Amino acid sequence: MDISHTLKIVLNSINSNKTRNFLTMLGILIGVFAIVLMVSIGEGVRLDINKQIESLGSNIIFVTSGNPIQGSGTRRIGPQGMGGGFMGVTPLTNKDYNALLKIKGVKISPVISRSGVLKYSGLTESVQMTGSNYVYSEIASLPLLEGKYFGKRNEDAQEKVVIIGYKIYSEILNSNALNKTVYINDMPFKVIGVLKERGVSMMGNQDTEVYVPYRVMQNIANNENITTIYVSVRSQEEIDRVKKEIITLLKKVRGKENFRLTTQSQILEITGTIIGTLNLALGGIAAVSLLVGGIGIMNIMLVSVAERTREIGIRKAVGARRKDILAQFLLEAVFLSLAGGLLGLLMAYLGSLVLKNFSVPSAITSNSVVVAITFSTFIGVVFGVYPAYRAASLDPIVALRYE
Amino acid sequence: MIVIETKNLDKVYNLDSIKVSALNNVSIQINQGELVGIMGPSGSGKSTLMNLLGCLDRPTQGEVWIAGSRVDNLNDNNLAFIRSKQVGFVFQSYNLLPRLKVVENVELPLIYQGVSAFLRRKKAEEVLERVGLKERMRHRPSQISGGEQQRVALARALVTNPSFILADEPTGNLDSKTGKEIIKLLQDLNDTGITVLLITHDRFLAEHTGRVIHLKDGEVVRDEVLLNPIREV
Repeated sequence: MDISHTLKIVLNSINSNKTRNFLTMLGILIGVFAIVLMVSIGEGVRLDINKQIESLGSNIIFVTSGNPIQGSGTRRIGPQGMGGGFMGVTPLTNKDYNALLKIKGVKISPVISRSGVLKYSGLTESVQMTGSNYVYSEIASLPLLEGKYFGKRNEDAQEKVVIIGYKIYSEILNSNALNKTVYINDMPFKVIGVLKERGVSMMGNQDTEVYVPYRVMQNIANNENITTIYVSVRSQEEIDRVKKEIITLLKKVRGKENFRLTTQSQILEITGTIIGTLNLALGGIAAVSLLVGGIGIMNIMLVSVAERTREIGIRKAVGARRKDILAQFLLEAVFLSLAGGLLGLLMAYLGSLVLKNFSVPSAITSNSVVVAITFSTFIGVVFGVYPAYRAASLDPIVALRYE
Repeated sequence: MIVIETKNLDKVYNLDSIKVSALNNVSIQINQGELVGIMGPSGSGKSTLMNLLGCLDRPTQGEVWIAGSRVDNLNDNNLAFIRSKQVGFVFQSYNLLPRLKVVENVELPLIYQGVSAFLRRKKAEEVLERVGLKERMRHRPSQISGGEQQRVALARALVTNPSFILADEPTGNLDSKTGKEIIKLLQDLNDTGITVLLITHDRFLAEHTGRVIHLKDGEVVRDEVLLNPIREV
């Protein structure tokens, strides 16, 4: 049968019930909008996190306390070592760090993380405090705006010096920071360096971070605990060799293998899995609304078939076969659904632009476009088949008599 | 040449498990070029016979032959094909599609025959010219009178060049003057050799045909030949 004619009938029919059909389309529109936006946010978050993990530096082995990972499939139960003894986990200490210093051709820094409150001339700001050694700025490639990172001399002397993030520099210290004294958790620190603006990451605002010598933090805490030891390797090929060395050395110091090594590729893999699951869940919830939209289409198509019973009778009388009628109504359902889907896609695109303004990462991929079109066509077919089948099965005599 | 033939046609309806016999042993023959009235009061089986001859339905028993082929045992799709090729329907209530223009209504049967758009338009314009409505072809059914709508329906019936036209009370919704115009049109078409079956309960209308088949209680009670049918001029 003639496609252009069918299309004309379909457009005619949709046009003659504008409000009703628009509302029906709205169901699909919202469904597709939700799915595409959810997935694009998930995808945006994934890209963002990957970028940040990669920006840590490419070949870092993270040493933490806890039980070793048995392959990448099994996850350790309980949180990562927090620096202090936690749930029976023996924390890493300076002894472990010093042992690892024997490894040749790597850069090593202990890292201690705490939250804190920074005060300066009456203003306060919550900060993320990182204690490290002087090599850390090279390992994490921290970009300096002015001043310098602390050196070996500052570290050995256990000087209370601090490198501050851009937000603290610009908002608390009014862009005039070097050699000023700030108070972190009520302890005085001298500002010797300022970092360039780095923006918000999934791990928090990088511009409210402060960096101090690790020994200073240990003194404050009155222990020798270390949250994580960063071991930076020159190239990917050396990772396995260095890992073996770390294990041998730490086993000797700690007596047993109660620590674990994580590499960037493992972190990428783990976050990838988490976000993938999250995406699936979000997409699943959104898919429910698409399902509801599909039921709306079925409903309206059944109404349409009932209203046009006589038309169906006439068409059959002048020679329309079952499949002609089936095609007509199926096409109408698919058209409604597809139009709703495309509008939903457009709305999702606009939505992602809006979200970008609020710094929510989102990325509409070609995948989500394909998914939106495929899904809405699929919904149209699935929920259009039954009404179309009813239409095609009408007895022409009964249909012609219908008032 | 015989265009329509039925052999011992029975039609029984099952209404709530009660069997109602609508046609009983109907055997008729209609020749090419005849103008035949099928007459009877309501409940006589006229509509049932029309549905069977129009290939809208299948008999319970007996045979229906149209243009030399047996059609009573065909499936839905093949019946649709026969309707499309052999039968031209004209209904009492016109049955035009309100959203299509006049010319599109006339083209409708050709669409289901797979005729190209260009040829469809050409044929539709030809038959509209024949029924005197070419200048109204871009109107919608609601914009023309009842008599004109019935002429459009007639054009739609003619456009496929069918073996016969089945007109079911074609003047039933029209005033007598307009009704007469439609009858005249049917007579004129018959003069050009087109077979026409006129189904009616109205004796006066039936007297415009050359032969009247009388139905009563589902049976043919009389096959009457009219030597001087009324001519509308």
